[in-house]
Amino acid sequence: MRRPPAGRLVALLGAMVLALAGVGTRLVVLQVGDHRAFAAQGLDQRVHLIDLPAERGAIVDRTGVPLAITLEASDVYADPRYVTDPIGEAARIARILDLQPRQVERLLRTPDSTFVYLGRQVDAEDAEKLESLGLPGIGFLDVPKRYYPAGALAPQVLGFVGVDATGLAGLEFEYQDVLAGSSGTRTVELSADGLPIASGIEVVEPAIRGRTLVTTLDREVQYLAQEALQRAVKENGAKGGTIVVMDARTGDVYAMASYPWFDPNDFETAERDAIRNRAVTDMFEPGSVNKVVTAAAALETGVVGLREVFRVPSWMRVGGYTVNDSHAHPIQDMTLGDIVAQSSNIGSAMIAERVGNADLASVLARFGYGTPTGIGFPGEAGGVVPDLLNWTDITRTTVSYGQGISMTPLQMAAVYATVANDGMWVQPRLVRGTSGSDGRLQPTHPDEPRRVLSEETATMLTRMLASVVSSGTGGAADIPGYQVAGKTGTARKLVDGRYVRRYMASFVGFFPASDPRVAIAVSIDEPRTIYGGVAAAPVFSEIARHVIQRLAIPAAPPVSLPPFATDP
Amino acid sequence: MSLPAREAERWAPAPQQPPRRRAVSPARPPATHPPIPTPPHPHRRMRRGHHTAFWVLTAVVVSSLVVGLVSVNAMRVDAAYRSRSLAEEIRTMIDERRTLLNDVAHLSSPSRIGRWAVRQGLVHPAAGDVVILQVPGFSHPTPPTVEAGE
Repeated sequence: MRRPPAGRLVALLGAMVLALAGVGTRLVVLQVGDHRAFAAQGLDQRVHLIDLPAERGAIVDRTGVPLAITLEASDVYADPRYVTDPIGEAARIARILDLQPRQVERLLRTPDSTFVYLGRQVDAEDAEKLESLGLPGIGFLDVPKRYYPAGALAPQVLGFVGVDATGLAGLEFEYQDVLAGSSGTRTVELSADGLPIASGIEVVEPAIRGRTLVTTLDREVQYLAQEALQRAVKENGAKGGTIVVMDARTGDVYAMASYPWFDPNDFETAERDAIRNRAVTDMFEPGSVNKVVTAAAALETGVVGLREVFRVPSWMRVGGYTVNDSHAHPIQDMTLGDIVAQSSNIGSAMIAERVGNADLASVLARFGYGTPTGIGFPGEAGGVVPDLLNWTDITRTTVSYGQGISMTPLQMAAVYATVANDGMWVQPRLVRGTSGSDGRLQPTHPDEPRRVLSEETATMLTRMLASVVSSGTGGAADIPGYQVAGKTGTARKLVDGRYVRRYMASFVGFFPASDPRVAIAVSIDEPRTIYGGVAAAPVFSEIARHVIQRLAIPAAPPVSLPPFATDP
Repeated sequence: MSLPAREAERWAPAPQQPPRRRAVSPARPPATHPPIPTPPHPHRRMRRGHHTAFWVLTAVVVSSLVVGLVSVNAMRVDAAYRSRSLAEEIRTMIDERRTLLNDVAHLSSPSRIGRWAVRQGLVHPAAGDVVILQVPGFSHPTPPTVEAGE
């Protein structure tokens, strides 16, 4: 065999050396020159930043029972490209998710799509059932879901949370920042098939759980209040109603209900009107329950004595208007106690005339009329009081018996709690505080109590209010063994600027009269019977009896009744 | 027996050598030149290269290092898996706890018990049906309130 010429071998060797040198150079460029950029690129492909959502804090009642809690759920989605049998799969999915098969099939056939939601926040149980079927093209995403284990219990107070875990109403909305916590991150190195590399990078910055909101609500009292309210609304053929049950000494709201209500677990189907917490957001003309303020103004200014007797007709003319009592009657002798107990509009008007515009307006302002209580609830209304400059005789007259001004049921409960609390106004509150993972309660700090009335005035008012129940219009609020102090109210409703023959019937009071513990305000909207003593007072009595048992409130010695004109 | 001269030389008894005596060295004159290093003996390096102990030791050290490194890495990976598994277990248990809390709250909810009571024919007591007796000197304990969260 002939050997190739040495020149060619040398040339081939040279070419190979050159090629190898080229490869080597390129390697050096890649491995040494650009290694940082490529290393970073590789790391970027492998290392993933995963958002760790914070668990939303629970909402609990005053005894620590959860009223709202967050659990794991799943979003169910489909990638239509991988769905092999749309009709069959749709039937099976629809059965579990309680959907229409045709609707699911349409989603599974979505053209040019790689992701369609089949269900949002599906319960873990249903998601597991669906996952066990192993349907091709169906995937699951872990998401949190808010549950309200007691169902429709204080729904307007608690509010609800949207699919993005943001509070949309009620305390869920008001305390969003506290409840939401702050999300964390997990930096993890994943292989090409998406599995974590065991010895790879893993840095976890844990999410900080939202704080638990400890409310002042009492689950049992809330339920009993709602039961009584619902029954009263139905029995009276009313449009709705509200109840506020609060601790007269601390302002803690044990129950707050507005009927109709809704189930926050299914808030999408709720009627718009049912979502509003009307005890806080809706104003109404208080009617005769406001006479306690007129009496307070009279006692505070000292223009009326307890034993002073007024000659009260059943009607009178004021500034071109005729005002009258609810019942026609001959001219009657009445003391301040009689006027409150018999709920005389004319008597109240006569007292208000004696008090004067400025002093009456001043007492209203001291009680907080026209200003939100600051309970810490979104959309709280403050009520409407006419500007003192615009007051006329008829303004003073109507205000004296609770027409021409408006307030929320919560404000009215706070007024009576003030009388019960020896004349000290305490700010109502729905939240006792928050607690973190250490379980320690961080209390909220309500406004300092302020004195609205003197102790003597408060005591005299309590005696008058006790007479309303013992011998006046509020007899249906009586509780055997306990002395109740309260006032009935019937107010005509103002619709589109005109008074119509539709009424709001109320009863507001507290018990036991001599050592008040709890104040309750009940309002029934447009009942068949218009009188608060008939529609609302029995509801007060029913709730009060439950509250006495639940909170173990002992009876207290009765207060003496005020002087009446018929007294010897 | 006749042996070649070389063999015969090997088998021949070693010639008697006179006992060594320490020679008395004459006084060395002061050095005028640095000492010239003597080159290693040509056979010494060859002798070290053939030292098997060195190779055995090297092999043991290297293989120990390799085995140790692999073991440590395996343990690290194992620990990572176990840690992940524990983290997952903790997460599951937290979820379960929350689910149980929810279940307890749901099962004990007054609305659920109320519905059940109505089905059983129970009714609320009418006004006056419940007589609350006041015992002198005895005050009811107030229901517990939560000072701490969950």
